[in-house]
Amino acid sequence: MLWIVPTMFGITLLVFTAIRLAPGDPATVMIGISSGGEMREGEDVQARIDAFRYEHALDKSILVQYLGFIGPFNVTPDGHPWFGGSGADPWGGLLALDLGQEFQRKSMPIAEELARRLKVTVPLSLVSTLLIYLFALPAGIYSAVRPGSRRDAVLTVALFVLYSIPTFWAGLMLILAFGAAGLDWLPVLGLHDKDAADLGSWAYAWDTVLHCILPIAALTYGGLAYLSRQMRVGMIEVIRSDYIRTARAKGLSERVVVMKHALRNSLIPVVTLFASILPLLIGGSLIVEVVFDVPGMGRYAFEGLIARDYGIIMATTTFSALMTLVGILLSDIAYALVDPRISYE
Amino acid sequence: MSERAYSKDYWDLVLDQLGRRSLFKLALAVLALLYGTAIYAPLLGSDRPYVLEAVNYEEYGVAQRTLYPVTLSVGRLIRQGREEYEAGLPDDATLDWDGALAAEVDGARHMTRTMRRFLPPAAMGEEDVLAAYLTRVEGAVAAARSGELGAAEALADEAKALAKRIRTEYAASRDAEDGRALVPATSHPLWTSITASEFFFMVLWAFVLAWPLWNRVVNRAVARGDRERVRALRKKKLALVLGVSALAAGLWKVQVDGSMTFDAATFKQGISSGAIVAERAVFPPVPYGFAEMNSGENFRPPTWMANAEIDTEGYYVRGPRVPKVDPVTGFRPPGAPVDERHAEPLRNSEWRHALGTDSVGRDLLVRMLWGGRVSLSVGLVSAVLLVLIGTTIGACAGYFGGRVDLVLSRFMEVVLCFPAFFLILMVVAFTDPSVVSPIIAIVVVIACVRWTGVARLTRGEFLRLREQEFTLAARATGVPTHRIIFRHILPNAIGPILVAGAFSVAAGILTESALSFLGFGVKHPIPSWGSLVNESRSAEHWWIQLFPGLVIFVTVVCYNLVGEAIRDAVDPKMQVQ
Repeated sequence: MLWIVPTMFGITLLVFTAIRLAPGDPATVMIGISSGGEMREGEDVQARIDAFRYEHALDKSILVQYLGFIGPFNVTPDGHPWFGGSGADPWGGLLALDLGQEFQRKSMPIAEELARRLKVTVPLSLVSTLLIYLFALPAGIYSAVRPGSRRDAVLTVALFVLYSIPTFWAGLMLILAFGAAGLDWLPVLGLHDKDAADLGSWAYAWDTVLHCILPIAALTYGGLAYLSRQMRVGMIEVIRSDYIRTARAKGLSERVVVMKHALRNSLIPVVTLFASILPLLIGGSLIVEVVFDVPGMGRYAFEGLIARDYGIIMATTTFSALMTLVGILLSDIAYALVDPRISYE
Repeated sequence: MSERAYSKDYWDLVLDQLGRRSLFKLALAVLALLYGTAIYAPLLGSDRPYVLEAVNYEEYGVAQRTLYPVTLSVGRLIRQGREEYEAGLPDDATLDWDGALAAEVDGARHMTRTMRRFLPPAAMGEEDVLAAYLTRVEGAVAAARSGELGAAEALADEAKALAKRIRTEYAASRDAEDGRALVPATSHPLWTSITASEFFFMVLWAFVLAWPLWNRVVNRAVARGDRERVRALRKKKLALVLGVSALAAGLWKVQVDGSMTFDAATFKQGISSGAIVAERAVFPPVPYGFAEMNSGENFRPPTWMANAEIDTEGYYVRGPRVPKVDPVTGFRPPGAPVDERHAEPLRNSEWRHALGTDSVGRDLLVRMLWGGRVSLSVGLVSAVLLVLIGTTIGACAGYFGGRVDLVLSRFMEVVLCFPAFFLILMVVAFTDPSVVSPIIAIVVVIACVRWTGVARLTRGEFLRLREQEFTLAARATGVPTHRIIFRHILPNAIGPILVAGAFSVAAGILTESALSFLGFGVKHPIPSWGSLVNESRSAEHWWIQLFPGLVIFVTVVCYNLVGEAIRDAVDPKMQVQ
């Protein structure tokens, strides 16, 4: 549990240096955007760039900037007097749960917007994780019970194909197939219809569900294929082991053998995979949210990247790293629950 | 066949196993073909002809008309002399007097060469006007350089008279009667545009594609089926193939590369305006350039479809893009007639745009052919780099153990905790394309983020192998550490690393395509499969989303199949038969 703190520290350091080392200056980009992409020399461009840097503390040394991100000091011009600020708002940074303001919408605190976006992304990810485990375990067991049979072969190939589909392409193909251009069964963009605000609460909920089906499908299929392949491999290994042969030899029914003896032991590796499915989902959510125009955290990160907004990018990456770490922690706990031999004394 | 007893070594067994898998062989064949289309993309789809027999009236005319002014300028430079000319130069001038003279002579040479290409030999007369002119110009400049100004001026005057004669008498003629009609000159624009490195891969890939044919023949002929000799032959065959390819590329560099410049855009323009008359032009199967626009045909569906049909005025005949006539005024929006350029398939031919076009009428098929170069090489190169990094770090951690292992393992954990796609996306998005090419940035970043898997694997293998007898024996006999790592342990750990490598290629291709799809990958006009999908997100333009995505998908499936097959084959638990 405690190692989360140093790891988080390492990750923020990594992200921070990665952003700063990469060539490309947000100041020039922002000034370029605000002047309609035209950058003419000789005007007040340099002064405006300097003002922008001053305002967002980009003119300070990189260590001070990092301190400003971690906190607890606010290093911008109205921040703590130690860093040349006016002292109006001395505390800030991650430790004060303050992620700063957006570059473009200056009055918008990033933490607030991020919380709003997470209300979309977290339910989607949770539902999709649930679906992954719900479908992957039976599918893995189903094909592992008789390895090499026809149904195993068909299922394996199907999962293999699923596993190889690029996420963005899957999303686009789902839109083509189920959207207005194809079968016209489901809405494809956004989370609500345009007139959703006028709907009653049941109709509103139903509308949201309809809008979520395709994004969740696009989020789910990759992890599903991955997990059930792992499940199959683990299960086959277990089924070939000696104690299963013993269980069969003493006359237990196939059902009891599979469900009681084999399943528990093959669950162990699959449970730990939770840690690797979560980053998959986070990376996937960015693409899926962009393709389906869902206003979630992934899309927020994408918008931040487009606008070269350090604050948004740091916030979203830190948060997704945190989610990954929590995933690892959860899978460690689950590991101990499933396998009584393991304990974290 | 020799009756000698032989033993199968580990790699013989692995290859045997692989040879039994038809899916593996199929995947390899598809990959070989896909890489083939990328490598041979210029030969399959290009706006340059293989062979061109044409009279370029415009090129000839420009040369013929500018010969006289060039000669005048030579004369003026000589009369002015070095001191006067250089005194009158502005400060930022790049050419001194010698340089200016050399430039003029170069110009004269180039123009006479151009004229000579198209003029029939008979037209130049007994004394060969062009040769006479050129010797006078060169002589005048040489004389002026050595200070004999009198002789130089006399020669320059003679050259001027000849140039005047050339200007009046040798105008471009299309009239066959007077014996001066220009004759077509043969050139090979497509071949000359291929660089030596491209040619290297073309030769190499010819060997690879023909491998099933020559490999068996060579094994029979040289090794006579003897397994020991076949095994010894493997390295020689590899060296031979690489050597021949490199040799061919070297020759290409000397003989062909850069020998001629060719502007395909002006060529096609010249053909349609009549400035160029082509007797024979052999084009590649897809006669479009990967950046060649045709705005009249924007977002045209695949031409084998019914609703891609366009009439002579440029209106769609069927489908959603049929122009709507205003019921009151009868106004119909003006159509854009389709431009049928030289060597292109007919307007409604099924093959005109077999996979449709994009927003500015670029052919999707030719862009996919060229896009494969980026997508496939990014996947491969990033995987190679990633395996190198991962193997090195993993080997260090596993072999040395102790504190080294502790530090490296912690570092791996931190990198592993990170959502890889996020980090890659972030770094690539923040990289300035004018400083670092996006392709290189993507390759390096993927390798720097994704090496942990290979590193963990290698570490595990090294931990296992370093305590085994053969390593202990090597250490006891005083074999140096690096030799133990690279010669004794690594070959035994290479199987799982290869498997991870094959899967990383697939992952690299997926990542690159996702980055390009989001708009952070390669920049225009170079396409990659991912950025092609990004050309339009509208469901109306389904072909733009379907086809490039499909090839990405097929490639990834093939790499995963290959990885899977190798994994099963290198598994020490495999059944030996």
